[in-house]
Amino acid sequence: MPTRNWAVRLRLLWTVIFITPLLTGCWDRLEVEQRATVLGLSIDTMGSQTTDGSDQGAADEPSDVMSSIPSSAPGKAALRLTAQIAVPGRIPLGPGETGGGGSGNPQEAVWVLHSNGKTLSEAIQRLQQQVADKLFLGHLRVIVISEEFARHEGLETVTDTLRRNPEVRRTAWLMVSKGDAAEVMRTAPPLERVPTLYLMSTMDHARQMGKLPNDFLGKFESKAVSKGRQGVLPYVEITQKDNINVAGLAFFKGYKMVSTTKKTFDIATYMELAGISRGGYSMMVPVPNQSGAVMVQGYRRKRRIKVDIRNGIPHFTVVLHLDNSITEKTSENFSVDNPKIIREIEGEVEQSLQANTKEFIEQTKAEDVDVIGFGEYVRARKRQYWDRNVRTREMWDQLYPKASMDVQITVKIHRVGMKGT
Amino acid sequence: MIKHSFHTVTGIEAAAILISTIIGVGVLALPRFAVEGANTGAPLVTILGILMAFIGLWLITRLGMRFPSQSIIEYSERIIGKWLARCGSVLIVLFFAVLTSLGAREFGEVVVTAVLPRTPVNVTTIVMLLLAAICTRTNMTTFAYAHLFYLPFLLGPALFILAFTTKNANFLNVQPLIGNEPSMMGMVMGALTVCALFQGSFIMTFVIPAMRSPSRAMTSSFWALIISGGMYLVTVVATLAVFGSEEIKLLLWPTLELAKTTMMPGEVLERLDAVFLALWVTAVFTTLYSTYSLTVRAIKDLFHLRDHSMLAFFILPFVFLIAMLPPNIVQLYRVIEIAGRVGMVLTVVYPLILLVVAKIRKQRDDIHANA
Repeated sequence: MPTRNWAVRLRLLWTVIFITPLLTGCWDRLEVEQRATVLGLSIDTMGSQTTDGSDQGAADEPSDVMSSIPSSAPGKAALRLTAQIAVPGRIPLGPGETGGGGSGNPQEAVWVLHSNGKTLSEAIQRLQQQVADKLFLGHLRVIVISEEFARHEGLETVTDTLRRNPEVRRTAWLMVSKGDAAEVMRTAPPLERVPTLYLMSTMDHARQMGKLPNDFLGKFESKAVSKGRQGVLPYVEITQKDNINVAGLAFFKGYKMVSTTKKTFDIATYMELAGISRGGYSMMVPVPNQSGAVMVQGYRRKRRIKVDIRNGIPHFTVVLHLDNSITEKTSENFSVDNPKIIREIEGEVEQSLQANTKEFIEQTKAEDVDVIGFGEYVRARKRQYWDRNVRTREMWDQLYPKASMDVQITVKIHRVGMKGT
Repeated sequence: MIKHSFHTVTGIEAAAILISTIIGVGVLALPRFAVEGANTGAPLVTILGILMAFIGLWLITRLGMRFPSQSIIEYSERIIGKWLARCGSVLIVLFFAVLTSLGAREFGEVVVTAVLPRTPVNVTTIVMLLLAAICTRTNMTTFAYAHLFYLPFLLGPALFILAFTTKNANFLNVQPLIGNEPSMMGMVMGALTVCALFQGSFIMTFVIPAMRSPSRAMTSSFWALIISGGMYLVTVVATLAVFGSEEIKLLLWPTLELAKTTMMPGEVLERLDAVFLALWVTAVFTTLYSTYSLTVRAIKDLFHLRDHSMLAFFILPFVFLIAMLPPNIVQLYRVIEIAGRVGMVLTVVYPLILLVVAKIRKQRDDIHANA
């Protein structure tokens, strides 16, 4: 009954034609099984260590994919990349799946590939040549870099590639390994079927327990360019063949690694000085006037740094406060139910932390790596001094060892656990 | 009498239009613009930019309230004479056409770089422009409703994301407040670039004639600038606190990077950039919608046409062509910065001249002034 005239019909037709091109769907559609999801990467120096040799054929001939770029090591690939690619369908999606078919062998859930290149992106391009599907870095969780690479090549080109790629998460873990990085990535204890995810959870849990600063990739990137602070990365090593151990922290100067912490407990010292409030480290302290010792575990910290200029040189006053509880007593010869003893233990902890802190600061001064970021305090709080005398990070590196420090530590023990004495 | 039925925009709607117009593509690069002006003094630069923007908006609103039944294109003819005013109007049309195209192109570049690398940039650009063109055909009432509707989707998630960033924030990065080695020149230039992000607020001149009570216009302008400016300021502070000024200089879109670094507590969502991009597309759309409408309506008023809807598609090819002119992203950002600063002359100085002349000549629209 409605008498539609031609104008209405024409308009309708026009609308349909007009709308159709917009309904073609996503041009960038990519199914899960069509992408090679990279879970972890490791970067080694080329020829640092003889491995299984499976990678030799793939990319030994120079510049097979890329036209060559001028480099400090012409003709020779500098970097050996190992990637762990998730095999779709074999990645355990929940705890309930363990024990099903195919479990037990951790290598099944991931496919490990190698490639070489002068830079990270070149190595990734070469890697792509070996894989049918498009490499996808959106789930990249762990990047392990060998100490040798971090010390000699530096991470500049690595972070440049990672900064440019929109898929990469800034919250991925970047770490330095003592020895071969590919080896660290391959460690797979029976706890977790996917080696990379085991590495990741090692880091995440250490952070949650207050044993590691939350210094992920993005934080390292920020620190590596900031003027009054140097970056740190977790430093891991393989122990007992199949396990990895967070051995300490790697200190960086810009993008190049210069040293590591002297001992694992220095992580705690770093976290104290860096003002990370969650504590998790324990220390054994002898109890004064008694034959025995107690284990004291820190659980919370507070830190304040004051800076003033004395005789043209920055002076820092670091005020630290730690809250602890006693978790163990080695001897029944004495009891800890006495406030006086508690006070004495607190004094003992203070002294020993004082010594640790001093040693840590001395080390960073000797190597002039300001990993705590004292320079940032000068830059932020003493603007005029900074603008007149420091300005650049090189200047601060020179000045830092001369700066004087004053560390005041107070320790409180709040709890002794479920035992009365 | 037909015109009367268009007097429907309320004060809140006017504010909503302004807010969602102001918050647009620029928010992605904003922290970098501000940091380049005065490193850690970026928040100060932003505040300075907001104040400058407020001067511009204040002038526009003042003028609008003086001539509440007309747009700037119409009353400028009364104030400084037909031909002089027409020159100004042509420049306004050209500038906002360029602003629209640059916005669309910037949007296209972000989308192509960050999410859809295989989609050609002209497609992402034209889709956005097409959407703006289709919507521009509507009247002022619909325009106001659209903006009011999208506003909560824009502000809500944005504040949500910003709230979660505090976990990674280091407030040493925000100090010293005036920046290291502060220079007047750098600050002013930075502030100008920031201020340029507010130029969409020029739409107020077309909103006021449609307002139910134009006397409320100033209140709307004020609150709109407080809210959108506050939003920008919080973004700059949060980004700066998380990354530090040196890192921001290395990031093309620091705000997007911020969303990528931010994790929701309990690891519900490990990356918020998808959420952020979704709301950002809305923000870009509302901005383009406004600047596109502004261009079209300005042409309509310039030629004293009765209806603007047929113009919407007429200018589309031109806007698209301008959008495609910058050969690469580096030059695109140069053009954006230059266009923004040049545009200040049109959006601040020109209204200032008009207002001064109108005051001297004691011109005002008396019929509607007390409505």
